[in-house]
Amino acid sequence: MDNKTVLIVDDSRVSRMMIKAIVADVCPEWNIIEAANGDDALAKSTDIQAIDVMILDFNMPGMNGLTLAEILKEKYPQAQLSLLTANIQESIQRKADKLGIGFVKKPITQEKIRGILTYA
Amino acid sequence: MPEELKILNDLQLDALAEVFNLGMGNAAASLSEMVGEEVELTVPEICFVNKEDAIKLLSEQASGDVSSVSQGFSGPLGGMAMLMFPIDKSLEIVRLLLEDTVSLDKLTEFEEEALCEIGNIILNSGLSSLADVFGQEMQSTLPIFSQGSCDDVMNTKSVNEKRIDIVMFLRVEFSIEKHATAGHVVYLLDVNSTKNLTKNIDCYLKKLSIAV
Repeated sequence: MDNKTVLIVDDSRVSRMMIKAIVADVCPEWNIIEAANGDDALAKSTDIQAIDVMILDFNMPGMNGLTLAEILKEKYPQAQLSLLTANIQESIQRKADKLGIGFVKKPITQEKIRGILTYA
Repeated sequence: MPEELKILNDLQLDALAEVFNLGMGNAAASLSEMVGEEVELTVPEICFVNKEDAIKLLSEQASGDVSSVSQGFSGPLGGMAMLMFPIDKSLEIVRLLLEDTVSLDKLTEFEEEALCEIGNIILNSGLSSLADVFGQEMQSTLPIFSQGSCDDVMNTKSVNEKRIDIVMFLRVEFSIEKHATAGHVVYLLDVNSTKNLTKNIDCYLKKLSIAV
């Protein structure tokens, strides 16, 4: 895979570590940006011209993953966004569908992350 | 034996147990994916008791101090969901989760956060099943970790901030067979939830065309 950039946003450090380890294994050339919440993600992406893949948690301190996705989608219309969450309610899945972003149920596994990265 | 509170009739209780059976089945599948081991699940048994009796029941079953993850929830029902593991087994669960990511000597450093993530996934499975069956959305707070006796973890500041009326004591054991580890899940319901629970279960039964 080409050299691309992935943004990982999750308030759980353990989750970020697990996702990061899988991305580094599957796409070792990729640039990884980590953020612990929505504000952190927006701050860290300010100067980044292109982000190819975004993996966003839903329940986080401050704005939730869907609100963050709306903002990021506008700024990076080409990016492939996925909600990766333990909140697997149908209503949340419908909102993600409506927004045109992926919905992936936690727990984090190599197959799920690989699936997200494959389409980038 | 603690006094069981008669909140639901047998049919309502059966419907609720089925909803949680589905939710906990999803939770067990998730836990199995996380730890890479087969997870056995007992059929959820539900009873309603007051908080003091819930602590007694848990203390009898947990046989010792526990690691607990709690998450507040609101929506059609409000209160606090809690997952508890025996304290002496929690590091083993963390090891199963993180053995490919973190070196053994650093496991303790990640124990709290890893258990919060496990709790987040298991508790949300149960809450999501309830929300889907009720056709409504539920919100949950971020997971909070605590350790101590059952009495300690059921009386933390975050739990006591909720105006808990009754405890929906969902006794479900997750057994990670090779490691002889079991966990318990309880839902503490606030004062406004009892009526809503009955109302929502009746709506669910009506949708299924089952006379209440």
